[in-house]
Amino acid sequence: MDEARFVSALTTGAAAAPIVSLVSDAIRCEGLTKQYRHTVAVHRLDLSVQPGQVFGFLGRNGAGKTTTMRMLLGLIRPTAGRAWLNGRPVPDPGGLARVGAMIEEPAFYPWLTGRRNVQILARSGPPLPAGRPDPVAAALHRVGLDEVAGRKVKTYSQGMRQRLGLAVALLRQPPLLLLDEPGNGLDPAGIREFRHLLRALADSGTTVFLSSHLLAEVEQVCDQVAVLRDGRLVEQGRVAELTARRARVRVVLRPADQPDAQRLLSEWSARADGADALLVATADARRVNQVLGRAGIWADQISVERTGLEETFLAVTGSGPGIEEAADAPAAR
Amino acid sequence: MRLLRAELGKLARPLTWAVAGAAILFCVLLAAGGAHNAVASPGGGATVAGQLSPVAAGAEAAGLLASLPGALAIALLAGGHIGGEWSGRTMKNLLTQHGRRWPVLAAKLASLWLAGAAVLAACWLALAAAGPVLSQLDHLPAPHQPLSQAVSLAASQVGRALLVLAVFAAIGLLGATLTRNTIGTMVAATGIFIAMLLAASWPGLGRWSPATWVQSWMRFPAGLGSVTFLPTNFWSRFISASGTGPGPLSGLAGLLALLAACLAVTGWVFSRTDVTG
Repeated sequence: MDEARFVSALTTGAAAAPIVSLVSDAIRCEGLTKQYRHTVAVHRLDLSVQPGQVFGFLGRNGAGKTTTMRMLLGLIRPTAGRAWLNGRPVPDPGGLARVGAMIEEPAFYPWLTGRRNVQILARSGPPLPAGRPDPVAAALHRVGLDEVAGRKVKTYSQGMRQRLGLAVALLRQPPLLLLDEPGNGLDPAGIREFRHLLRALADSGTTVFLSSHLLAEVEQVCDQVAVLRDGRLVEQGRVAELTARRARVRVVLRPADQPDAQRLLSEWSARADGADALLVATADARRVNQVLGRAGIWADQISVERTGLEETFLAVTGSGPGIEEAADAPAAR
Repeated sequence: MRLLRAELGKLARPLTWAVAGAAILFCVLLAAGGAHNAVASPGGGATVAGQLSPVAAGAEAAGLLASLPGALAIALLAGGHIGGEWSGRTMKNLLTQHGRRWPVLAAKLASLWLAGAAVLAACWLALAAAGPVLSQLDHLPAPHQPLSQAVSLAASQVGRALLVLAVFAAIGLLGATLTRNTIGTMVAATGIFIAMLLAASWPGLGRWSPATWVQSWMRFPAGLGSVTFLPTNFWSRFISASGTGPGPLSGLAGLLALLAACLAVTGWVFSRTDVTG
């Protein structure tokens, strides 16, 4: 589908949605906990998502992302804690009309066509906003499924099912979208369209709460991210801040100066990187230069190396190389 | 009503057509066998011809659908229509569109009951069409049954069967809520129906057994009926005639209590169940 039309249609549709009150968070969790017998899936989660953001919700498989989303949608009862969506306490069946959701791989009735599936789900909830000619057709058009809407869902590819799930989520033009792995199965063009879709929605005031393993996409599209590890929130902040926290200063200097330089820079945890370089755990290159210069050690080169979201994620979740090793990754820029 | 329409829309599926087709085939084959067997029996021909008249065939269809064939049909439909929401992982879609769980249950029950009623109507239509043909093929005598009597019988039995179908549907709904999958629902519901029949033959349980409530409410003749002619039901033949059965009103009260109990347990379980699939 033509990307410009795709984005334009989305923007037009979302603009008609009610605007979220600026005084309340789009999503708020306080001590949200879910325990299954001896397993704690989500542990005292405190989270705040401001309206109009694209918020990335990250974590390894089994970290508790989907459980959290299901609790927010009233599908799972929390063991403890509270949550609010659009300022209303969860579970709030009446408030679901203002939330669009796609949880894990979307599932549909395979013997029905894509259009019929959306029609049935439209009828399953509160009446659609009045004044629009055909919300179902509009939603299918937005996700580029108009041409295959008459086909039975059992003939759809995974990417087409993802798009259909997105159409259902967008059906009521909600001010808040909860999307769990929406990029699964999309081809590169689909992923690009999806990225533009999210930005267009956010620009028109829609809050998007997004769980995804496509970290490059998350990095490009999200304003903020939160990272879960074993059900606990371990990081939350703006993407740039998170990656900057793990920035390193690389100091290239004469091998003979390396031991003294390492001692001088010990306040930041400096370690050797080969015979003629040090990696210093700070982003403050000026200060590093100053400390070395005062001691009469002159570096050949001092540069800041920033990690990408992927390296940050791997480091935070403990699923990849350590923080310092992550700084060595070639993606550093 | 919107939710009910949505649920009815989901029932336009191959499983429904297959169940309806099987029920129709069963009824017609049974009618064919009954008509054929009745020829050789003195007096039997007129009886069966009466059962197969287009209007009175409604009573025949109602009797069959309010007994084991109908129970099995409901069990199959419940498996696909309700248990399938969990197996197909579509329950989350439904509940994120409509967060209130009681209306979802009510729509599921009502749509399943309506599907059962539609199968009954389809069987009636099939018997109404096939009955005169079979009577003619087997040279059965004219039934000599007044139309008013046929209408009264059919209306009464169909009305009674609709309540029994509602109870069967509630049992199917309960099975789906407890097992949360297609096959589990079919097996659980069928198991409950069979258990009901087995319990009815338990000494001293006659008045308190759901199967005997169905039997008395539907006015099925007690005891093991003959299969020589066209049977009015496939229920009482599985129940031992020993013990005192309840009257129709007791049967009605028992069925209503069973319906209420099924709905209460289903609602309690469903409202506390996490939807994880």
